[in-house]
Amino acid sequence: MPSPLLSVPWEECLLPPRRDAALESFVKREMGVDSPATPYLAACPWLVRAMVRLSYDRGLLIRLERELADLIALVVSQEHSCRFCYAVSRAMLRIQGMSEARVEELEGRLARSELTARQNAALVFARRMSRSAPPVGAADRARLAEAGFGAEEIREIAYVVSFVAFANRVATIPAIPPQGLEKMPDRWLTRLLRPLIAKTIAAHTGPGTPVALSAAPQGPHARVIGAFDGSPIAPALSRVLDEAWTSPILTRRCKALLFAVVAQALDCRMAASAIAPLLAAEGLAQGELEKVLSHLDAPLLTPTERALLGFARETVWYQPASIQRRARALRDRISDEELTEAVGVLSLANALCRLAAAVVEEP
Amino acid sequence: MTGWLAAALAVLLLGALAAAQRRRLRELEARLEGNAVELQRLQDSCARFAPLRVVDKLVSEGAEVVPERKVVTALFADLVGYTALSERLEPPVLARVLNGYFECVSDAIAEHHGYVSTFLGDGILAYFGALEPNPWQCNDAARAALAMREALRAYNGRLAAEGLPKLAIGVGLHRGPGLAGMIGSRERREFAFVGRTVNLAARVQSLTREHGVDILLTEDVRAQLEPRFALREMPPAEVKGFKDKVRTFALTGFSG
Repeated sequence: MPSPLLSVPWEECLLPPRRDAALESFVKREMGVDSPATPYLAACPWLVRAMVRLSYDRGLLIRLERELADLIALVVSQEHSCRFCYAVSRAMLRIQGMSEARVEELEGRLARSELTARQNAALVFARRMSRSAPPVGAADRARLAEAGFGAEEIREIAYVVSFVAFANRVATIPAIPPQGLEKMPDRWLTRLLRPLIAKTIAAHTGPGTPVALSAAPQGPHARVIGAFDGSPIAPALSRVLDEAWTSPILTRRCKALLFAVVAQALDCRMAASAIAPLLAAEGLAQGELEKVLSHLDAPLLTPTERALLGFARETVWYQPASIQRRARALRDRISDEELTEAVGVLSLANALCRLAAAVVEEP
Repeated sequence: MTGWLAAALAVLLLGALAAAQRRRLRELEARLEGNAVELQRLQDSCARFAPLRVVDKLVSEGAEVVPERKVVTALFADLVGYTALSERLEPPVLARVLNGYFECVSDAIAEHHGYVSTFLGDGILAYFGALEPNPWQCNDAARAALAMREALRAYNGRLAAEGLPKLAIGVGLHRGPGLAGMIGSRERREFAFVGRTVNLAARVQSLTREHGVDILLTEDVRAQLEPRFALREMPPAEVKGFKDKVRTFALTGFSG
C-alpha cells in the first residue's frame, strides 16, 4: 500500500531554479550524484554546501550503525510530513537494491512497530526530539542508555535527528519538488544504471573517523559544537555555521533574531542565552531584545526583519501546506536570496535548538 | 519407478503448499491493506469530531498525553440573540447558518494558532498555548478575535444576499493557569483545559452584552498584549463566582 506521505499536499516551489555550475560540480564531487534541490537553493550558496556537509552518511557517524540512522531519518521525515526527504530516503533504499515491495515491508514494520527494543528506543527518542514539545533532556538520554546505547551513540542519534529536522525544513518550507525523486527509482535508465549509481554513492558515503577540533569552538553555538569534540560532526557544524554567519545576504542581527525567536518558541533557554550576547554586540540591548521577542515586532526592526520574525515561529511546528502558504506570503516582501537564506537560517536554528537540548548538559 | 513417482508427488505437494502459502500471504496483505484504509478512514472521521491537532497529538504521543499544569489563553465566543434566531429559522436553514458560522470563525482561530476545543450550543471555546508552548498566546488570541469579527462581517454579507438575518457575536478572552490534557470518563475522554480561567473567559463574554461591545479581554491578557492593539477600558464589573470586580477592556482594533 503506498505511503500516505506520497499524497501530502505540496505547493508549487516558491523559489525559481537557477543554474550555478560551481555549486553543481561541488555537489557532484562530494556526493557522487546531482541533488535535485541544488538549483532551487542556489541563491544561497552556503545552504547548498550545508546540505552536503551536514549529511550524516558522509563520514560523520563513527558509532551508530547506518541502518538505524536511516530508520531514524525515515521516521523524522514522517514526523515532519516531508515529502521531499521521504522521497530521498526511499530512492536511496531502492538504489541500494531494495525492491519497492521490500521498502513497503520496511515501512510496514515501522508502522506496526516490529522492531527490536534498541531500535524502538532510538525511534521514540527521535520522535520526541523532532517534536520537541517539550525539548528532550537528561531523562530521555537515560532511557537510551538503558536500551544499551553509549554516550557517543546517543549524541550521534541526536545529530541524525537534528540533521533531518534541518533538511526537512529546507525542503518543505520552499516546497522543493519531490515528484522527480518519487518517480526516479522506477525509470528504466535508473533501473539500468542502478548498480553503478549505488557504487558511486557508496564510494562517497561510509563511517567516519575521529577528528580533533583545531581550535576551541567560539560563538553562540560553541557548547553544541564542543559536545561533539573528537567527532567529525564538530568541524562540519563549525564550518557550516561560520559560512552561515558570514554570508552577506541577511544581516547578522537579522539572523541572530531568527535564532532567538526559534529558541523562544521552543522554550530553549540555553540557546536563547547563547544568542543574546551576539545581539548585544549588534547593538540590541537586553531590554530591547525582550520587547522584540515579546511581540515579534518593534519600531527598531527593518522591514525585512519585521517580515521574517513573525514567520520564524511558524517553522517550529507546522503542516507542509500551511508553512508553504505562509512562506509564499513572504515573497512580495523580501527577495528570493533573502527568502532562501532565511529558510537556511531558520532550518539551522530549529536543528541546533533541538540538538542543544539533547546533547548539552544544563549547568 | 516408485522413487520417481514419490518425487513427483512430493514436488506436486510442495507446489500446492507453496501456492496455498502465497494465496494466504495475498489474503493477509489484502486484509492488512483493508485495515490500513479503515484506520485512515477512522482518523479522517475522528478529525471531524476532534480538533485535527489533537488527533495528531494523540496518534503521535498515544498514552503519553498526560495532564499538565499550563498557562493558557481561553477564548469564549457566543452568538448574540441566538434564541430569537432559532425561533425564526427552519431547522435545516438554522443548521446551515450555524455550520457556516462555526466554519468561518474556526478558520480564524486556527489561522492564529488557536484550536477549538468545544462547540457548546451556539458557543465556541478555544485555547491558545494548550497543545504546544506559545509565548505569544495573548497576541494570537486577540488577533484571532479580530479575525473572527472580520470573518463574521464577510459571512453576514453572504447571509444578507440570501435574505437571512445577520449574526452578531460576543467574545471573552482571559489568560490563566489550569490543567491541560486528556480528561473524562472511561467511555468518553477529550483533550480539555480545566480551571477558573475558562469560567472567567465565559463570564467576560457575558459582559459584552452589558458593556455593548463585541470583544472583551481581562487585565491578564492586556498585560501581555503588544501596544498596537487599540483598547478601551470598561468600568469594573461583578461576575458570578468571582469575589472581586473584574476589569475588562474592549478590543477595538489593531494599528498595523
